[in-house]
Amino acid sequence: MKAFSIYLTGVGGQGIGLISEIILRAADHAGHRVKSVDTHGLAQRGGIVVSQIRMGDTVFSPLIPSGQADLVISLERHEALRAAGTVLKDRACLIYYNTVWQPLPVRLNQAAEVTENDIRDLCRGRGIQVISVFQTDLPDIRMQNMAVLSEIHRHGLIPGIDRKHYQAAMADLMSGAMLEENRGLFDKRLTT
Amino acid sequence: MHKLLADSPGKKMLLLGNEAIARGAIEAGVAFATTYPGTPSSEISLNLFRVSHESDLYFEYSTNEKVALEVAAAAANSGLRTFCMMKHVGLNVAADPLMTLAYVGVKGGLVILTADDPSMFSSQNEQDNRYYGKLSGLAILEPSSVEEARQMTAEAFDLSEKLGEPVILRTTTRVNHSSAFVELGKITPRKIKGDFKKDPFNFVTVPAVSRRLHVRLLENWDKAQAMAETSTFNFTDGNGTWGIICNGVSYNYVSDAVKDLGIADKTRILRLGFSHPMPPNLIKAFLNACEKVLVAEEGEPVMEEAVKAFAQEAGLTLPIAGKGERLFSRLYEFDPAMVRRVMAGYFGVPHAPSQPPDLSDVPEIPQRPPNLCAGCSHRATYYAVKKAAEGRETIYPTDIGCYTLGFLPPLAMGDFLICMGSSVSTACGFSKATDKKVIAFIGDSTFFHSGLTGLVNAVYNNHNFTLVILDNGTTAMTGHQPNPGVDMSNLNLSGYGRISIEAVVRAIGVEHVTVIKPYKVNKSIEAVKAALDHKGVSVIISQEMCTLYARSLKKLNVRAFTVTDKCKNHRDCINQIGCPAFFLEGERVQINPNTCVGCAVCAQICPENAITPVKAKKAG
Repeated sequence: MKAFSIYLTGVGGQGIGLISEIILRAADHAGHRVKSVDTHGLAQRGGIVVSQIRMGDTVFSPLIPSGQADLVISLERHEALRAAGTVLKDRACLIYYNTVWQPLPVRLNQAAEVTENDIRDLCRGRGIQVISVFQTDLPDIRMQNMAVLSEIHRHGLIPGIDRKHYQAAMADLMSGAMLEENRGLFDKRLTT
Repeated sequence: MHKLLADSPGKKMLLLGNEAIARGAIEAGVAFATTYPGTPSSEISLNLFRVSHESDLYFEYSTNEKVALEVAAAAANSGLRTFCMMKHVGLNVAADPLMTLAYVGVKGGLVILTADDPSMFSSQNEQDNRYYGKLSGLAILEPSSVEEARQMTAEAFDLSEKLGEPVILRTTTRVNHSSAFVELGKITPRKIKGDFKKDPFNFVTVPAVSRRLHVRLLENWDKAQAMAETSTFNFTDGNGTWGIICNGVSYNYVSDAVKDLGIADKTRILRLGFSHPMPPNLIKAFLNACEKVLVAEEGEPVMEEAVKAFAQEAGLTLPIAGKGERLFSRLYEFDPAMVRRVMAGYFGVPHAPSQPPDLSDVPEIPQRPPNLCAGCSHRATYYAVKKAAEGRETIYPTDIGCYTLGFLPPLAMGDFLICMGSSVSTACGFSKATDKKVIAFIGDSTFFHSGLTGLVNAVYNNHNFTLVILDNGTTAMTGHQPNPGVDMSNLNLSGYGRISIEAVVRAIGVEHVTVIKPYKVNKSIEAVKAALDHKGVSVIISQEMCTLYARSLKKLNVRAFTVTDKCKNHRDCINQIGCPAFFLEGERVQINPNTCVGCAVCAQICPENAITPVKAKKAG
């Protein structure tokens, strides 16, 4: 397939690693060549965590050239704007979970919180499709990533990956009650 | 069974680069592994640690990298295949044994992994450890991808045994922390018991012996160079006349750029994976086939300088460019788009790079530096020290670990840091050179790593400062590895010793030693005040388990706190300790019940007593 680059971002502790690995494995289940590169170490302590995934038959580098991501997936609003502004192609797509983990300058009242309008304004100017995800009755905040994954599939944002591939990838990584709950959430959003 | 022990050659498995490296070592029959953890290398040892619980692999977390390499040197000279892993700056600590071990050589294969960190994602510098190859005379292998990392690690053991020398396996963060589907190789059975044959005139490096051993090292260097000439890790792509020489991750960026620019018919890429000693004949033949050459390597111009020297030897005058011409920077990691732009410019290929988006209308996005976790005991300790030291002019030497993050506002506790263990020794210097009150911070693992010698120095030379040892019961930043002070029964492991920091500090001769529980705010402040009043060396040991670690051991009893309507909104809590569980809702401070762990430090700081535990819901 043609190269397709996905940039995932959020705050350390939000579960970027899990959603990234599900996509990676789903791409493999779908028969695509795929590789990724993640942030580990110091940044995980409440800093920005990034995972980059590149699919394609002749892709060498897992690192996405700056400004060339086809899709940005963010689990947090500030990071959605940051990534959309720096790594996303014009006319590409941003999907984000509409929650806020206030950066320190915001908590110290030294900077304003990023708003949904900030994101809409940036993306409108560059023809970027924006999908904002939020679920009021989420049983656990650690499942925000699953709500986003479900919407990624519903909108067909990653070419060549079907529902069964996502489900197989989830089964690779989770089991028991955790798998049931996460798959339940993933499926439920698709039918409502 | 640990996934890396799967004896299924040909199977494809999703592996992190560091898992692929661990797997490569297992496939080579590694019997003995030592390390001190450090990003970006830590997951290699974490996996081998786990593998050692299920197999007869010997693994140890050594006290520091020097110890790790010396332990490894003995194992390898007893004939065992041995793996010693560390981050790039760890090799500085191990540089002393490295240089002379190169003279002595090895019997069993010894692979020394150094994980470099261009751009300093988790490091204090971005030194290029390829220079250690030159400095020591040892061979270097450098993988470009996760798949190759597995294969190269396995073959590095063979190479080491052929040369009778340790081999340096040099990675960078983007290889360590990439993931890909890797085809597994065959596992060679490991030989776990070695033997040491006495041969003092080859092993005891007195001058007369070393003079001979240096001759042998240079002979081995020649042998390694001859092997690099024909190594399959050094290969060319393409038959064009635009030459590009690259290594490691830069090979990926160059290959993608050649495709994107549509110049595959014009280029000729030389990828050097066996990159030290550089193969002169291979490189001269390559240069002969090119009209101009670009050297693309992250970090220092190591290959570039060698290539230019070879060209001179061969009387070649073709243009060779790289960092010397400022086409590439010696700073930070490469961005693939930058490599493509430089290649297009150098070879004169039309290329319209995508313009960076216009962000002038976008509000400035607040920075998000990493910070201490919600409820982190280091925050409590820093607060206590800050309060206790109020009114004094202070210098706060700090050290390497999560607690380094305490230097950021609002705590701002950290004034000087150069390397592991430097807090204690620089405190010695600052306290003599200035009249300020010096208070140094060091973590438990770092204290054992290289703080001990500094403390001995302080007592011996009668220095005057307070050392705060932040004992959170684990090596937190690199992923909760054990250290000599850790209770290994927490990990269900037996057969380990355990060293009491307090007993060590007292045994060294520190007269004023106090153990505090940092969540008890007022008591801690009083204890620190007393330590600051002591003339001479005083030590505070602040004991509280890392909350992330406690959670993983199911030892964390979370009881979230909340801000009640007694709050008068003076914001002492958020402004003084800045715990990430706080957020502002409009003008009011709130506590996120999902992240608060209930350390109660903020509740003790609040002058209105407005912060109280969330009331447990009544049953029924």
